[in-house]
Amino acid sequence: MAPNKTTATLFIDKDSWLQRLHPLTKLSYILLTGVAAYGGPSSLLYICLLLFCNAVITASGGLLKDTAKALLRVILPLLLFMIPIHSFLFPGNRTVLLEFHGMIVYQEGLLFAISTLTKLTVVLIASFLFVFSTHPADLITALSHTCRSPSLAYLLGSPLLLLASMRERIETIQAAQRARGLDVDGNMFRRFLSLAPLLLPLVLGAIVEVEQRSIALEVRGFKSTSIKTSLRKLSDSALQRFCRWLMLAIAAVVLLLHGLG
Amino acid sequence: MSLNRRFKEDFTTTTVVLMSIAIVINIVGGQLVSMLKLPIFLDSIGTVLVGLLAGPWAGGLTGLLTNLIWGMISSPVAAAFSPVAMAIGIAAGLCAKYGLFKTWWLAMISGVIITVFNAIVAVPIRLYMFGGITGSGADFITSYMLALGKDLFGSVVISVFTANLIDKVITAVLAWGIVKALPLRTTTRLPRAKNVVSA
Amino acid sequence: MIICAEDLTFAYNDSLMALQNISFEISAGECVALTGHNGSGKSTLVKHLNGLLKPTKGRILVANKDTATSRTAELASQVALLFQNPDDQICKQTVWDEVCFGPQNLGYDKKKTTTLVQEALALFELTSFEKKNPHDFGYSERKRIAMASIVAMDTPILVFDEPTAGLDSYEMSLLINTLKKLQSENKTVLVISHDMDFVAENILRAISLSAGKKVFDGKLRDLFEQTDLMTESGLLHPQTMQLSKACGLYSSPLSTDECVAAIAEQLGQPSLPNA
Repeated sequence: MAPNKTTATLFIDKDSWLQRLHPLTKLSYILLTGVAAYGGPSSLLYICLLLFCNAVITASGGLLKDTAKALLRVILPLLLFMIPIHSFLFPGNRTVLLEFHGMIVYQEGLLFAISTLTKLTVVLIASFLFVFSTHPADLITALSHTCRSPSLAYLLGSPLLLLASMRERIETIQAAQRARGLDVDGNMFRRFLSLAPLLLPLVLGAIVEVEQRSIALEVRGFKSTSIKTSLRKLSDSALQRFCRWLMLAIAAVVLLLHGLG
Repeated sequence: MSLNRRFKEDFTTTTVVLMSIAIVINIVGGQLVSMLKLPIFLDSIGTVLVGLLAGPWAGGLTGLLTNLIWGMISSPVAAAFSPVAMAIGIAAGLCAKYGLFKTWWLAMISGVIITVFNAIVAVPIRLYMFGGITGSGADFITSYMLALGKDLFGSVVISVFTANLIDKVITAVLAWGIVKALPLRTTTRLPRAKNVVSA
Repeated sequence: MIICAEDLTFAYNDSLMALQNISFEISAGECVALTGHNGSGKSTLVKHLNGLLKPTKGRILVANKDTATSRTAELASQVALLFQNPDDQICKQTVWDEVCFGPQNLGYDKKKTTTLVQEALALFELTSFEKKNPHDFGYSERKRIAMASIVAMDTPILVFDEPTAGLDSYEMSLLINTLKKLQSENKTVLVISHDMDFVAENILRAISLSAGKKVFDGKLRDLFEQTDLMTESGLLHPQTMQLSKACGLYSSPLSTDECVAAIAEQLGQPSLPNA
């Protein structure tokens, strides 16, 4: 899935206004979009309007091509399953739209599939916008500043750093166990049996190391309460803070109305 | 109470480090099964482990963060299912707390319980966000159930349950085996490990 | 010839040639040191012996079988390969089960497995620990457990990748005894090592790699004579040779015994009093 394997993130390094926005502003936007798509009116016209707005925002950030590509990869398999399954089998199917060699395409199912797919597309665009325009380090900085929690920053940041070495380690473990006669490409039952000898060295080693890692963190003042200096500077503004609250407030209102209606 | 204070009381540095490693194990677990071409996910083994070793809340948070990170580095769809991963961690932690990880066959029962928790949270997300279809192998079960005349809700429940049952049972038994194999000096540092290995 | 490499070439991708046109032969019962600096291709080379890697060009025959067309699970009964880090393989709850893992995978019956495991545990003085958890021990004990688990597979060929790293001098003597025992059983042993003191005392033949090419194949003593090659391969002379050179002796002793004899000769005495 990841287009850029070396950095192991989906971030695209461009300099646009979307890139410069505070990560929390963009997160609030995803929330608002999600609530608007799923909690708003269910008319197809309204969803298409949302779709259009999101496409315009994406284009203005210069991310239209990347978003379209990523979107296609997620939506296409869904589309291939959803359209036929619902047009043939949706339980609310009444109105026959087409009949072809005994296969009946129903209107209700087709409409249901299309409306679900468009709603999903709207939310996915907003999400891709976020992951493409936000460097994970910026998100971590933003979240840990807001929650004032070094633990949260560590939990979000360190897995990304550990991932490459763990991926390499699983290859080495595989080689070491195969060298001891472990059959990793036999029949399915044998492959299931080889799961434990491959997983245990990886996990045991890592858990046994936990103690040393946590001591190493504590001696470096991991949990000290003083304010940490951060290398990444995030730009934020009063306007953005206001927009964030506004978006959250609108989302809450939409949810409330949806709940009442 | 600020989030930081709460963090400090619930989560020691050891727990936090354990969780960060578990997140990586979750992600690498997927790599392992694709290497072995096995029809399971194995993407919650770290979450279940933390549930056993550090309790339901730490387990839940591990699952949640795994899917959020997964969403950042791979596909935002994973982030939509983060509440499901959280439910798995909480369920594993609760099972361990009530002694349901003491033997391998109890661990299998826990696997079934985790599958139920998984379904309770996953079904509404699949239903409302994805119209019951997620573009995976489970869709075949869903459409088969629909063809038999079941309603959408029932079909999705059955397909989520069957697609996850084997995965979660294997995950639970593997997690039990891992905690059993941990050296004494490590289990004494992780107080909740005694829920699994009766000292 | 139990191992025969012909023009062996391996590339991880188009730009990265890990091994280039390597040919050599090793006969049954030989003990060979594989030397060279980090990244010279030693580990890549030994991974070809049991089919973990398949040659891009050329071929390698192990016991007359082309490794490219055999499965690793089968080749494991010919070649046992010890990886550097014992934690990459330890997967069982007791030392006994861990050492049983290889023999069981090879399908040996219960009686043979028990005998082999007992012998291997005894060689590395692990018998009293057999019911303990491997992770309850320190690094060097885990290394001994890993070595025992390889020896217990009873294969005609054994490969050790950096076996001396992390061992104390007593554990080193256990390893040396094991090598002697394997030699007496006519097993072929390959040792990857940077530890020239260990290699000089225990091994006669060396194959040296540099940047994926074979730069030396012959008597270890001849390798030590070629100073530029030693520098190119990032190797240090063994301490015995450094000492004799510093003392102005003419011979190049490879072991403590040889060094003592050389000093005695220089002093014009038949032997040293306290040697």
